[in-house]
Amino acid sequence: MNRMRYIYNAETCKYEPVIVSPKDAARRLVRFIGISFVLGVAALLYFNSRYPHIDETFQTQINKGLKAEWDVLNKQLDRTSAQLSALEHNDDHNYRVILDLEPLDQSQREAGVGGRAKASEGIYYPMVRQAYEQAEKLKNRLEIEAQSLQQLQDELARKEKIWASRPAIQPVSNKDLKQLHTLFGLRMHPLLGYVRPHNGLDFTAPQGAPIYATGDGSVAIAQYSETLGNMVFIDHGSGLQTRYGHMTKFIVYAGEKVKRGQVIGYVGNTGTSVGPHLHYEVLHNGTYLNPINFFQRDLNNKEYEKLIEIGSQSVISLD
Amino acid sequence: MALTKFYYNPKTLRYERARFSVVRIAMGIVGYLVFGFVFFAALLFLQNLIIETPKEKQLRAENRALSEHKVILSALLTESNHQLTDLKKKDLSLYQQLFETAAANTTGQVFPEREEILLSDKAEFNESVSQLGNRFTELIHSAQSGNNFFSLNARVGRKDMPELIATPSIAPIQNFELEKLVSGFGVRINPFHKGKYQHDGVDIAAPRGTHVLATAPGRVLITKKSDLIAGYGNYIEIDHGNGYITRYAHLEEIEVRTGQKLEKGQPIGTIGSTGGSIAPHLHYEVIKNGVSLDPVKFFMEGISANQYEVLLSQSKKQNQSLD
Repeated sequence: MNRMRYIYNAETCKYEPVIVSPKDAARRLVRFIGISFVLGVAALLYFNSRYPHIDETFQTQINKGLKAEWDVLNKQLDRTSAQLSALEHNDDHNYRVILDLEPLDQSQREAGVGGRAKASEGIYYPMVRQAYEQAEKLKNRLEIEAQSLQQLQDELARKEKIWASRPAIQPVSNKDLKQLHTLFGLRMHPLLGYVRPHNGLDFTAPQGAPIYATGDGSVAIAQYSETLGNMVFIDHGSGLQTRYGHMTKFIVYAGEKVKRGQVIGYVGNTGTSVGPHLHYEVLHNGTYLNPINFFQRDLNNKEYEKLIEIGSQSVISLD
Repeated sequence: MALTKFYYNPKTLRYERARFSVVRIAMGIVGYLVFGFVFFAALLFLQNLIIETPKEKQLRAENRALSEHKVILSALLTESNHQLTDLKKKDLSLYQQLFETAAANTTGQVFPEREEILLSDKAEFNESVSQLGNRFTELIHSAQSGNNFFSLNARVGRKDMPELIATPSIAPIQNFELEKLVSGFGVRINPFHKGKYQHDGVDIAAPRGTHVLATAPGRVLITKKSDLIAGYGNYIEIDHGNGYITRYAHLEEIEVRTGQKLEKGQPIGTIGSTGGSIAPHLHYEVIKNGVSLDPVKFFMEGISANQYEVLLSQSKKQNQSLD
């Protein structure tokens, strides 16, 4: 393609090949590059006038993406926070009410355990700072709630123990029970023949019928006495004691831990007694309470009425 | 330079005048453009490399901060979520221990799962929605005709007024909320011996000192104070007439006298935990002609149909009472 070019020399009347001197070639090259460069600069100026800085565009794009991710993060934070709020509400309004504890207030919950350096300090970006603040608040609340739940758990365990120790069942099963003498208070003693207080209830049952501990506790006394015969005293804590008398024999020893429903002995006729029966007493801080209050709820109302009726009919107790 | 140029044509064996060539000129322009573009690209690259606009600088810094802290915060969040899951388990176990029953409304559901389920079978979902819609319309119609029948046939006359007035109709405590009803009427678990027994009232848990209200006008039948750690503790019975008697047990304070006349909603005492009770609560009974009725059926005023449904389902749970 690169054909030789000629010019017509009028003086010599000849076609002479055009010889481009290196100087000329260089000049042309410079001209070409110069014009291209000017074109390039013009294009750049035009570009700059129309479009933002390239890296700026890039960063804006990245920024948009990041902000979308942060939105998700913030939503997740909100959701976790809302779920925690539900737990806290349950804690304050249900558990703490039932376990008789004061609810925690919000400032207490957000304050946290304290002594931690704040991660949000010195951060310029409000979005980041707020997220840190929220995350920190969340962390504090979580810690407080964990402590609170632990406290509730401990309190419940403590109370469960007390509830389990409360005398709450009949000491003799209904299937063995022949008669229940519900007369509590002053009455004529069948053997002594004068009025003296009857501090418990008498459960008439066949000799050898099992006697159950009515609540968890520890055996305070298990021995023979002139009046109560073979007897067992059980301490239930919180000032409560139950006493069981006239047993054929007891099968627990002083200091032994007993569970509700555990057989502690058998119905008998020992001590000042005129027939096989269990004499059962409930004491609170040394005061005799009517034991009927400590098992009545096992029976429905009609049954309970019947019980009272049977009891009130018996004029003479077996004690 | 302006000299005419010639080419030697080997075919014609003559020097021919160089023609004005479009291709040549086009090639020249393309050459300028290509090189111009190369320069443009190079300059743009350099400009990008050397010059940093304030906005770019700011964005760059922000992006760096955002991506760095996102990692840290995500880790924090994951940790928090683990703790939360742990707390939820503890909460659930506490609930089960307290009420001897499984929790019905788990606190805080995870929404994405639900959304996923909804989206997973859109057609079926739409179908069930439309079915539910139809069923709903049917129910509305039947309710309307029922209402119509009722309004045509039911007339409240003067002779019905004493019965209506005597019927207990409000929640028996101040600021009642549905979740405060913790144990209902029927066979429940006794908190002391964990056996089942007939619970003749409802238990409403509330902080000590909350006012207990008379649920209908009436006259105080019994006020009883008792230190005994079993039974009703301090309690009040109100005779509303027409065979209605209400009983309010385990009170801390009694603020009325026997024989006193009461208005509906009048404070009569405060919540306590006296008698055989394991927590501060009100044990509330409604008795009609000597028979204990489910008191939940008498929480009528200020409660919507939906709330009533919630209350009813809550009271039907065979859980532990507070006695």
